[in-house]
Amino acid sequence: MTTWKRSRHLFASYRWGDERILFLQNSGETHYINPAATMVLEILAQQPTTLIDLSQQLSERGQVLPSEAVLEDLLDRFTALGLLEEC
Amino acid sequence: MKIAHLRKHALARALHHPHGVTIRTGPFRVQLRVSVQSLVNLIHQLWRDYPLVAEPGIIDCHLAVTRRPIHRRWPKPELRFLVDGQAPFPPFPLAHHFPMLEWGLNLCLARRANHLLMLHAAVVERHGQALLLPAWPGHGKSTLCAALIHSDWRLFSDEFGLVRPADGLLLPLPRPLPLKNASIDVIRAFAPQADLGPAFEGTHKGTVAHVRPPTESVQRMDEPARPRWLVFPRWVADSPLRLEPIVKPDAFLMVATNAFNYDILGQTAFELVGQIVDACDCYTLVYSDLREAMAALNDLTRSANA
Repeated sequence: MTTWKRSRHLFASYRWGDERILFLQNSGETHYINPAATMVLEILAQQPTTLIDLSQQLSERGQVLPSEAVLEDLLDRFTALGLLEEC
Repeated sequence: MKIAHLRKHALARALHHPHGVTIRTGPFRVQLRVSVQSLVNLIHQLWRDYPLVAEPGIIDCHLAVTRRPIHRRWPKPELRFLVDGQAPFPPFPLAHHFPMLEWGLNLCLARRANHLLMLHAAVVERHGQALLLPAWPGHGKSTLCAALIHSDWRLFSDEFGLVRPADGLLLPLPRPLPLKNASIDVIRAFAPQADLGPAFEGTHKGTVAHVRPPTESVQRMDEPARPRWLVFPRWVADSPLRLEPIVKPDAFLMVATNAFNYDILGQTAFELVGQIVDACDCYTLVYSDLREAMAALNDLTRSANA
């Protein structure tokens, strides 16, 4: 089962409320991160997590859960950006 | 000594000289050679308060405006704008000399001043606090800016929001404001005291007339200011006035995507834009009536100072 963790790539961020703007140092790109995605990043920054555990933690935090496919797409997207790594 | 201290014939002689004249505008030194008398007259009027630089130092832009030799294939008189002896764009008609000089200098600064973050925004200041008006072309920022600087606000720039990376302060670059088409008469009616140059018809942006930067703004062009308000204006015909707060992430993306050199400065630009958005109250402004827009901006900024 795939586990994701926060990448070693550095990024800078500003946070306003539940939303963040990230600057990725590996690519020089700037990205807007919505509240749900911000929560995903926070959970994965704490420890490597599987998709099932991630869904459970999002649910415990009161987040309306996207489908598993949408969540997996988000993780793939974050991985492609260099924010997350599979481990 | 400033340009206005020279008589026109003395300025013309100096601008004809192989070394031209060096002036300072905001943080930049610009060396200029000109061989067209009608352009000299307008420089004397619209750049009148810029200090002449005599002491040696680094020149940011070496510019020249010269007549293109008449050729049977180009029978109409044309002017070339040169930066370091190279023409960055095709010649302009002789009659469009001053717009060409202004656009050329803007282009030169936009390409070279990468030691500063350059936002595409009008900036004005009052009581040490700056109001930034980032906007796309045609959204009415120059019109608003021209009205504000004739209503107690100090001109920083109608085009370049210069941000100094060392401290995040905004630097003035008070330059002539190019009003386009209907906004020329709007400002003539709103601020009869504004010193406008002639209207240049048929440019690629329509009819253009320049407002001289107020003398006090040029005299105080070494005084920076802190950002306090971000207002994104948009002129929409017949629209009721709407001044609405926007969330800071949206403001961040609007400022960053509208900056001249955000991608070049990378993380430095990211951090500076973040600091500005953090420090500012952020709004969008849709307007059709200039006086209503001015009243709304005055209410907004006065209530913050109260």
